[in-house]
Amino acid sequence: MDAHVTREPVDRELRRRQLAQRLVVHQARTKTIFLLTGLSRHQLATMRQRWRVTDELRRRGPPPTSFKVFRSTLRLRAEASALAVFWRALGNIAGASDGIQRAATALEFGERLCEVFEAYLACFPKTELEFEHLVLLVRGLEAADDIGLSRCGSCEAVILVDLLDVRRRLCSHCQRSADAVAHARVDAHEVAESSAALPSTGEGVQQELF
Amino acid sequence: MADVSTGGTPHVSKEPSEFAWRGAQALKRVHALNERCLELLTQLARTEREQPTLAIVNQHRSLWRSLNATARKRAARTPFLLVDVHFQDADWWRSVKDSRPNRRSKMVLHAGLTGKIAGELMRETLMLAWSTVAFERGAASILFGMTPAVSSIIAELGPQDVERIAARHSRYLEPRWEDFPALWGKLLVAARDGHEEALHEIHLHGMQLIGSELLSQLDGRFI
Repeated sequence: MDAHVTREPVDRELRRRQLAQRLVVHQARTKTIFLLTGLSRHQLATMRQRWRVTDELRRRGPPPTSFKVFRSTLRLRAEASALAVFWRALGNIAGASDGIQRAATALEFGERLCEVFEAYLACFPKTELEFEHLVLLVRGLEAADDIGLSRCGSCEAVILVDLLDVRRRLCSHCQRSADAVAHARVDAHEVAESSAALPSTGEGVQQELF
Repeated sequence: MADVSTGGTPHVSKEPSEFAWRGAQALKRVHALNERCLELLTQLARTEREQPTLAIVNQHRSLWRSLNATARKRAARTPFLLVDVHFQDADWWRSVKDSRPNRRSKMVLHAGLTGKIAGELMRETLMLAWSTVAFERGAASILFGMTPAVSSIIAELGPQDVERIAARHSRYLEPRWEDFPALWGKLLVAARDGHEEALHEIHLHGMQLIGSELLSQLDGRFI
């Protein structure tokens, strides 16, 4: 019998368990781990016990489902855009490492997600994004119904955009600069208005003379 | 971050040792190379004004001069290499691989990075790019902004090819975003002031800019 054929299910089982461990480390929700590994809740509970995962290390509740989280702050907009770059650059490479493009299995998809998230964490250790955000982001990018990638209208940086939003698109950094300029203009306008309304010291002196 | 191992006690840590990124070592080497590059640019800024040099040095000369070693170390910790050697241009790499350099017009742009130190920097850059491609192509794409086509060409090079290209084409080494001095200004100010939040934002911006160059050659799915 071919040794490769008999080993395959064993290797696959090992990969599944290792992926589960990786996902637990990244604080993925139980539902996500189940979908990516196929391990049941009971199996996961046993593994968590063996790995001595305490309750405070687990994320509970439903995973994020709204893309609004990626637009909630300028920083998160930039973070989500950078994470999308990682997914496009690394997710595809990891998937095509054998030179053959094919649909990834849930296990392979989970491994790609982990690789991308680990790379992102290494480069941006202060990130506010979590593993479940990557899952949401990838789902949105692959579906291409609500979100997509575009370029900043000023510096051409990659930005994550809402496909229904038709306004001129700026990255967080150019938006900050634009906001600062706008604030400066408003301040200057207010100063000009107040100086027009109140006579300056010089004008007061002139009035007394006439 | 939860660090879970079969035998140990779990604890919260930012760097899980077991599942660290395979490109983490290359990232450290990128930081070291960035530091060398920043030292070179600081040296350029300290030379006389009359000497022709790079726009990013000319425009921020006093900032460069104000950077001490600690500030340079901070500025060097970007998640990408601060210099570029046509890492998105497969045609250029094909031409230098076959020893047929054909883009002399670029020489004008590189008046600032010349001499022995630039030659050493080029050699280090190419050796790092070459070893990163061999070890982890994904890391090369993120850390160098390298397209898959360029990775494939670099992967085919031998050590002598790398040495030859480094020796003959060091004038093509250029600081990343040489045409974007405002970004460099922000990086230098944040590094000088030790402003970690600002540095994080600049790193994100840089990655978005790299993505813009990279993604158009990966799948072109921009809207």
